[in-house]
Amino acid sequence: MSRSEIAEHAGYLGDEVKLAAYEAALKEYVRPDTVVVDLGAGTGILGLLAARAGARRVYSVDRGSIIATTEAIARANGLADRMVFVQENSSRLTLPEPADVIVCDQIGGLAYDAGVLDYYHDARRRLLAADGVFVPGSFRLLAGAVDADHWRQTVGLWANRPAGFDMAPMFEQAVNTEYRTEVPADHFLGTPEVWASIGADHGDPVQGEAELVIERPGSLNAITGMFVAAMSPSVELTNCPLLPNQFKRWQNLYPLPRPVAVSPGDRVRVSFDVRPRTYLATWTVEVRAGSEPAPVRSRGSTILGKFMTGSDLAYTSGTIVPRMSDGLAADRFVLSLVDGERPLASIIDATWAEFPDVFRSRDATKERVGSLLWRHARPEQPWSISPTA
Amino acid sequence: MADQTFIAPPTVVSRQVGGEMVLVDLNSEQYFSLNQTGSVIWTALAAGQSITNAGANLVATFDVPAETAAADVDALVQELVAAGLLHPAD
Repeated sequence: MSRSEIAEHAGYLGDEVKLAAYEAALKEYVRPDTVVVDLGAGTGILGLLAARAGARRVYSVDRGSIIATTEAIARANGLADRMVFVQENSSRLTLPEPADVIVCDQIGGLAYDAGVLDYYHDARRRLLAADGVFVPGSFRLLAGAVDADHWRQTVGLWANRPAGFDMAPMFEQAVNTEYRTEVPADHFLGTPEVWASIGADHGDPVQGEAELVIERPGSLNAITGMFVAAMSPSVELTNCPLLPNQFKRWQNLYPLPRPVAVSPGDRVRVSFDVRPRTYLATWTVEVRAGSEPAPVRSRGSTILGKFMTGSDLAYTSGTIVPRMSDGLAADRFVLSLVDGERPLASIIDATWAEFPDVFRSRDATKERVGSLLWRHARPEQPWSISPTA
Repeated sequence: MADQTFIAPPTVVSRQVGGEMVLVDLNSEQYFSLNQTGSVIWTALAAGQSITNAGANLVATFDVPAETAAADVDALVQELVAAGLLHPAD
C-alpha cells in the first residue's frame, strides 16, 4: 500500500464525528437478524461497526488487495465469524442473500463525485432487500458563495503571467476544474443554500439551482459544493463548515474566471449539472453585484478541464481507425496464451522470447504481462501459496 | 431565415482548444470540434446573434465573399441543429 493510501485510511479512522454518525445510524437499523453490506470496505471499519451493533452477517467488499488486511482486522477483533470478505467490484458483486442495510463511505465532497450514488443505484436493483435501507439514505446538496484562497493558488495564478509568460491556455483548464479544499467558515460570503435533494441511489444526472444572497462584503471567486447526508431518520452529517455535525472533509470548489467585488444584498444565481456515472460537473454562475454595470455570467465544466490533443478528440468521436503497434501485438500475443492451464512464468518466457525488441528485459516483460493479466485473469478463489513467477 | 437566432442547450458546453472550438454534449458525452471558421460561426450563434450577423462576422474575420460566408453559415447551422448542439429560438 502506498503512503498516501495509509494516510487516507488513517484519516477515515481519525474522524470521530463521522464514525459516531455512521455508528449511530447503524445502531438504529441493525437488528439481530440484519444482513449488512459494506461497499468499498477499506479497513472494514463500517462493517466492524455493524458487527458490533449486532448484525447477523456483514459482507465487507473491496476490489483492492486490502481485503486480506480487512479480514485480519476483523479476526483480531473477534468479529470475523459473522463477516464475509469479498474482493470484487460492487458492480460485479453477487450475494447469497439480500441485504437489509448497505453502507459505504464514498461520499466525496458533493456526494456525486466519489461513487456512492452510482454504487447504490446499481445495488438497489441487485443487492438490497425490498425493504432495505442505505446508509447514508439521502443527500441535500448545497452551494455557498466564497472568497477562497485556493482560487488564487490554482486559478488566479495562470492569469498573472507566471515567470513572465502568457499562460492563458492553462487558465482555461484551471477555470474548468473542480477543486477539493477546505474553505474556513469566515471565507463564506453568505448562507449556503440547497440546490438539490436526492436519494442516495440517484444514479441519474442531478440538476438544480439556488439563489445565494451576499451577507458580507468581499471578493467572490468561487462557489463551494457541499452536502448534508441523512444517515438515518435522526442522524445527519455534513461537510459544510457553517452547519453542526461537520466531519473532516474538504468542500468542492467551482471557480469563477475572475473575482467579483460583492456587497450585502447582492445576489448570485448558481445552477449545477452533475453526472454521478461519469463524475462530470458543470456549473453556471450569474452574479448581480452593485459593483458591476451588468450581471457577470460564467460557466465551467470539468469535461472541458481535461488536457486534450487533436488525437484525443479523434478517439472520443469514434471515427479514428486504430492501427496495430508492436506493443499491441505483444499484448495480443499474451492474451492468446491464456488458456486456463499455462502458468504465468511460462507466458512471460514465451512473450520475452517472441518480443525482445519491445520489452528489452525479462523483468520488463514480467511487469507488462503481470499488469495486463492482473485485472481480468485473477483466480476466482483467494490466493494460494505457489512459487513466484 | 436570415433573422433566425438560436439557443445552445444548457447541456452543451464549449471551449477553445488550440485553433479549434470543442463542443461537448453532456448527455451523449460526444465531442465535436469546429475549425476556425466554424468557431467564429458558433461563437456568434451561441451568443444569440442572427444567421446574417454570423455571416457578417465571417466576412469581417476571414475576408471572404458574402455569398460564400452565407453558404458556410447555412451549412453549419443545419449540422449543428441536426446534432442537437443548437435549437432555433422562438
